[in-house]
Amino acid sequence: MSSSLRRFLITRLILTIPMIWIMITLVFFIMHVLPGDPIRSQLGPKGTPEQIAVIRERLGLDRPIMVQYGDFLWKTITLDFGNALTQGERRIKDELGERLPATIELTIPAMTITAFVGISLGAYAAKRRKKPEDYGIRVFSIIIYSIPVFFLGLIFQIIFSVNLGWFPSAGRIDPLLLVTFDSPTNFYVLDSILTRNWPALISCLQHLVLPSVTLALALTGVYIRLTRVNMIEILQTDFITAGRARGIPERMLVYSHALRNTFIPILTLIGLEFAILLAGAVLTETTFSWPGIGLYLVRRIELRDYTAVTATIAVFAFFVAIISLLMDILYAFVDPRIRY
Amino acid sequence: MKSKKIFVVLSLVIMASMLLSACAQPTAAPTEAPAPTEAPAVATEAPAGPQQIWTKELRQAVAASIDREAIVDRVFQGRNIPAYSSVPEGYASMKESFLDKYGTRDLQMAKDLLTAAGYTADNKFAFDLWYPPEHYGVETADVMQVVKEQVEETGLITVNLQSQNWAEYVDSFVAGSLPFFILGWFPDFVDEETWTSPWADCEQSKGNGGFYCDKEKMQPALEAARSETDAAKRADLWGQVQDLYAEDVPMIPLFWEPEFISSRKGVEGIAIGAPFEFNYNVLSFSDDAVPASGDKNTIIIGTTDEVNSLDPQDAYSTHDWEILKNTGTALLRYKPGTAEIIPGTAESYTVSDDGLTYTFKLFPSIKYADGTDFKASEYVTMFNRWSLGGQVGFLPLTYVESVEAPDDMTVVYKLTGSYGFFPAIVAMAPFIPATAEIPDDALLQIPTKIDGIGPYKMVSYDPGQQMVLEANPNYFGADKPFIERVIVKYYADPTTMSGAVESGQIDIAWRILGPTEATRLSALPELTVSTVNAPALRYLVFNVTSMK
Repeated sequence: MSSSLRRFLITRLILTIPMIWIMITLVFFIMHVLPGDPIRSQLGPKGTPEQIAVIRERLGLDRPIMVQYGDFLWKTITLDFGNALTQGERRIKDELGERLPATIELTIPAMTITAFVGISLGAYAAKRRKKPEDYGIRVFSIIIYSIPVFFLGLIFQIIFSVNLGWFPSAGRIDPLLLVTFDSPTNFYVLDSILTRNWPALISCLQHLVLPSVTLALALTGVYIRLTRVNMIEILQTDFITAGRARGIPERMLVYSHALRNTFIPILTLIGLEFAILLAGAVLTETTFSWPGIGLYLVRRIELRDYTAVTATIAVFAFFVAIISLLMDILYAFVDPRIRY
Repeated sequence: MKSKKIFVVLSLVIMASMLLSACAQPTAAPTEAPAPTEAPAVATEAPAGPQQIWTKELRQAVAASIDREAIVDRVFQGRNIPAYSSVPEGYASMKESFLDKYGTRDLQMAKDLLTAAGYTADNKFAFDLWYPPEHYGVETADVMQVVKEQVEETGLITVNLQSQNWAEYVDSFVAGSLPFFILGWFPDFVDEETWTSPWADCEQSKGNGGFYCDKEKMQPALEAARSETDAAKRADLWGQVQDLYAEDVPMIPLFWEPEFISSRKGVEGIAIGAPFEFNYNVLSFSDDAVPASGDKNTIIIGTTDEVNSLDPQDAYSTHDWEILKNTGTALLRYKPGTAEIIPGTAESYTVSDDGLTYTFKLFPSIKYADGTDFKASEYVTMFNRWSLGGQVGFLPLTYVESVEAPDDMTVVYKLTGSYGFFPAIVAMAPFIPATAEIPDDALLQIPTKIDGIGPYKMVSYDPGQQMVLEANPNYFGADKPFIERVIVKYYADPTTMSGAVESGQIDIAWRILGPTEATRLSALPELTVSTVNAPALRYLVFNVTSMK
C-alpha cells in the first residue's frame, strides 16, 4: 500500500469520529425536541400522571437534558449504548446484535444479485444497442424501477409461497429448526455452515430467496440504466475502436475492456445503496417479517425510544463511513489513474 | 479558510439544536391545537361560565346527530357493531341507553338543542375534532369524516378535523389540549367498572383527557355500583349509570371492533370469550388434521403483536397478558371462552361483611415448572413489586391497600374500598407470580425463560421471530395441555400472516388479522374464520374543560 494511500486512509478514519459525533448529537436533540414520549406512546390513555412520573424517573428521563446527553455520549464511546426505553427495555447492544446481522444477511445477497443482473443486462443492452434486446431490457428496467418494492414482495409471496408453496413467506428459518438452532453471531447462514447444520442452512437459504430477490429486483433498474449509458459512451471511445481494428473479439472488448471502465460510477452506486439499504430495507423486512434493523428503527421512532434510535443511527453512521471509505479504496484499485 | 467556515457553521447548528431542546417542554403542545385551557392537570371540576365549549346540551346535540349504523355500514361494510352503551353485550347490566334516549339518530333533537343554545345558520357552533391517523387503523380518517358529515347535517355546526400522530396525540389529550377526540378502549378486567369509570369518575377522567366530574349524580352512582356485592343489585345500579351516561354524555360510544381468528381445519378448542383470553392448553388437533409443523405435538400461532414486557408486575398489553396467563395462573381465572370466574391458584375465598377484606385459600402443592414450591408469601412479594415503577403497578394498587400471608396457603387482601368486582381484579395478570429469574426488587421485562405455575412454560424467545412454549410438567391444574408445544410466530404484516395460514405454514392466524384478510380467508374451504366479539370500543371524548 502506498504511503499516500495509507495517509489518506488514516485521515478518513480519524474524520469519521467527528462526523459520527455531530450526527448523533443532532439526532439526540432532535428526538428530544420532537413531541411525544416513549412512556405515553406505550401506555396510551391508561396510566396515571403519577405512574408516568415514576417510570420516567426509573428510566432517567427526568434528569436535565445535558446530563442525559453526557450519559448517552459516554455510553456510545464505551460501546455500551445502554438500554432501550421500550419493548422490554433490553440492552441495545443485544438488540442491534440480533437485528444488524439479519439485515446484512439480507442485503449482501440482494446487492450481489442486483449488481450481477443489473450490470450484465446493462452491458448486454449497450452491446446490442438499438436492437430489440436493448429495447426490451430498457422497458424491463423502467417497469422494475416503478413497481413499489412491497408490492413486488407481495406478488412473489402470493405466487411462490402461497400458491406454489416453493418458498416460505416469512422469517429467517423454519420455526421448528430455530428451537434448537444455535447462532452465536446471528448470521444464520454462516453459523449453520460453521456448525455443519445442513437442514438449518437449507432452511435459511430457502427463507432468503424471496426477500433478497425482491430487494434485488427493486434496485436492478438503476444498475441497468447506469451501466448501459456508461458502456455506450465507453464503446464509442478511440481505444475500443482501435481494439476492434486490431481484431480483438467484440465480446472481449465489451466485457473485459469496456466494462472495467464503467466501474467507477457503478462502485459509487453500490456504496451508496448498500448504506441506504441498511435502513431502507424496511419495506422488504415488513413484507417478509424479516427481523432486521430497518423495521427495528421505524418501530422505535414511532415509540419515541430515544436511546434505541440514537444508538442505531450512531451504528449506521459508522457503517456508512466505513463503506464509503472502502469504496474510495476500491476506486484506487479499479482505476490506476486515481492517486491519493 | 473554507474548511474553517464549514466548522463554524456546523458548530452553530449544534449549538442551536442544544438551545432549542433545552428550552423545549418535555411534552410539547401540538402546534395546531386550540389554545390550552386554564384547567391544570389536577382540576377536579369543569369550570363553569359562558366561555366553556361543552355544555350538557351541546354534548347531547352531538350525541343525537350521530348515526352509528351509517358509520358501520359506510366505513366497515357492516362488520363492526354499533355501540349504544359503553358496556359490552354479554354483561347482565347492559342497557342501550343511548338508543333509548336518541334512537339510532335524532337530528331534530340536535337542531332544537343547538337553536336553544343560540346557534343559527349564520352563527354556527364550531369545534375541532381530533384523531390519530394510524394508531387505530387507516379507517379512522374515514370514520371521522362520516362523523363530521353527520354532525354538520344539523346545519348549525362546523367541524374542523385535525390529526396528530399517536405519540403526540397521547400527550395532547392528557394535557387537556384536545376539546373533542376519538380513542379506543380495551378493558383491564371483566366488570362494568372498567367500562364506565375511566370517563365519568372525577379522578379517572382527568387521565383520559375528559376532566369530567359530576359530584351530584354520576359520582355517587359510580361509587354505589362499584361497592355493591350483590350481583342483581349491582346490575341495576350499573344500568342507572348507563342512563346517566346517555343523559350527561361524558363520552359517546361509537362502535365495537371485533377481532378475527383464522385456523386450519382440524384445529379445535379455540374459545375466546368476553375476558379476551386465548387459552392455549385447550387447543387440540383432530385425527385428520395436517399440522403446519408436520407434528401433532406442535402448534404454530401467528400474530402481528409484539412483546413489550413479560414481567407480570410490569406487563400491560394484550399480547403480554396472553403469554403470562398461559405460563402463569392468577388467584382466580376464567373458564375458557366464558366470563365465568373459576379457581386459579385459589381454591376458594371469603369476603368480610364490609367488603373490605378478601381471604383466599390456595390449592395445596402448587409448584413452579422448575420444581420449586409455590407459597402464599409470593403474593406479598407481588404486592411490593407493584411499586417498582412498572407500567401496570398502579392498577392493582388502586384497589388493594395491603396484603398478608398468615400461612403458606392463605392470602388476605385489604382493599381501598368495597369493590364487588374484586374477583375480576385478582384474575388479572399483575396477580401472576414472577418466576425465579425475575428479581424481587427490580423489573426484568424479558427473562430468558418463564418457569411459572401455568399450563405452559416459556423455553425460548427470539425477538421479532418466535416464542416457544412447552407443557409444564408440574402444572397443578386438571386442565393440562393437549398439545405439548406452542410456537408463537411473530409477523410484521397481517397480509403475510394471512398468506401463511392459507398455505399451511402456520395453524392459527390471530391478532391482528383485520377484517379485509378475515373476509378473504372465510371464503377458503380449508380454513375456519371466527369472529371474536372483542371488547374493543371506539368512542368520542369531550374535554369538558375546553374553552372557546
